[in-house]
Amino acid sequence: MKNAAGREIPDAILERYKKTGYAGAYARDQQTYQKAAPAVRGFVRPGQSKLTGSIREALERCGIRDGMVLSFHHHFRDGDYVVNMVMEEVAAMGIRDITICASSLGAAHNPVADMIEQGIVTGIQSSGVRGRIGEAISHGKLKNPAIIRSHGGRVRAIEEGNVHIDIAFIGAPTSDEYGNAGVQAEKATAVFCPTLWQMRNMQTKWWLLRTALFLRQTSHPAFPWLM
Amino acid sequence: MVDVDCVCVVDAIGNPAKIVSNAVRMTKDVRELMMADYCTRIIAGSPYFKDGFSFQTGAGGASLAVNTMLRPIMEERGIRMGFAIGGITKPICDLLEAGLVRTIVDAQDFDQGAIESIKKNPNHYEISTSEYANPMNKGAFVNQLDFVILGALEVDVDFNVNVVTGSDGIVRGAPGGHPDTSAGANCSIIVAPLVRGRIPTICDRVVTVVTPGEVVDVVVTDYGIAINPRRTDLIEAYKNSGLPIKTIEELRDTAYSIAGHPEEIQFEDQIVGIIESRDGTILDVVRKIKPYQFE
Repeated sequence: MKNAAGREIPDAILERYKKTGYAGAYARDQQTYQKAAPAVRGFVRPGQSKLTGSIREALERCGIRDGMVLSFHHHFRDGDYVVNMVMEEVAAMGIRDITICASSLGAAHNPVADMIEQGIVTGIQSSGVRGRIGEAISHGKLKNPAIIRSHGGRVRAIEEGNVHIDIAFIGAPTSDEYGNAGVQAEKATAVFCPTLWQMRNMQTKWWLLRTALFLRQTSHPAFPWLM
Repeated sequence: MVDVDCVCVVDAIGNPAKIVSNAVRMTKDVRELMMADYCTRIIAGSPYFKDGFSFQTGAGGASLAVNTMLRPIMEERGIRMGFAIGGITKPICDLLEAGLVRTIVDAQDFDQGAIESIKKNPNHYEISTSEYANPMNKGAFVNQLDFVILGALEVDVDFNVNVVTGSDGIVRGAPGGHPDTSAGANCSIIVAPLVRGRIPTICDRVVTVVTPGEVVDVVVTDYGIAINPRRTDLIEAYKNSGLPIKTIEELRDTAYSIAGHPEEIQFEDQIVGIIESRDGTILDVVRKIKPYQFE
């Protein structure tokens, strides 16, 4: 079909993704939809720790397996280590067919391009696709078409249940043991990251909080005795 | 903590020095300063420039410079900004300090100055991306925007903007909040040089539609300014402004007269990317690149 932006969208794509073509900027005004809700694992027994000794242990505890959708955020921009650290571990565990659903990806994530070629990563859903990931996509190496969304569009896709995230990874300068993450600490020079406040907006089965500093001080120490 | 399953301590989560990427810089380039001057005059001459106006700049050279250029005009006319939004940088925080901005609503920080500001100034606070730009909630801040200044890799004569595929047809960009703010703002301004190297920015047809032309209002280039014909109110507003107002076709013709009429990029049939509109419908598709063959 030819959409309202004058672009030809193949019917096969619309059918495969159960989508319609763009019908105008405000075409969905007043439309009703059902919000997606997350699947949640209870944490009932007191005295348990959420701390893991390694990324691998965290991934195992979250039940990492082939075909999962992993979410990342882009607020560390070209200085981000989080995506690569996690994906290196995922690759080392022999996991395949992963979809990376990130708020954005950049040149810092060039190693992901190799994982695309190896079939470890088969889907990319992101705002930014740059560097070698972009090259890999444009040369047809990614198994499934990349889905490129605006920032607002990503939140909408999550809230409407267009994408179901299995594990979300949040980088935080500080946190207590229960996952109250903070951004203000003496040694915390990482960028301010509203993602910490966005967690409620995301429908995700598992949250893995990764922190560079484990300090006895966060901006919101809910459980100081845990720190 | 109610959402967190595991906490893992690592040596480092990132390199702060690289958070301020090349995209974020203050310009001394006279061409960018001229385009910033045009943008400033577009804003100051528009019906939306009044006390309490709202504003988002991008991180590009010209759009950052507008923050600085707007200040004397705001002071002279006694106009304060209601809210500033978006990727936040130090220049806009300076305006907050000076009392020229009432609040900064912050979806992301681009530099250390912005981080210092959010720590100490209670009128600078964080919002979620859903609050910022989700078209399907009931309170997206972008809907309250008066002005946004955005960049472009390409703009076509229908005002469609491409910020994803490069002139070689390879994906190398990001929509970010571009389609969201354009759709929300009363006056969306695209700023880009008419020609980059030998590549015309204003063209017949963008390779990929990322922000649809129906939500793009003004295109500022170093060779003149085009206003979307849908915006007869804005065309009227700048009639006697002294600004170099052209049609988008005139800008394209100038670009082609300098750089020549480019051959179309060649693609294979295979679809490698889907450009989703912010509302989840499909705006465009990206196809597999084909090595260029001369006929």
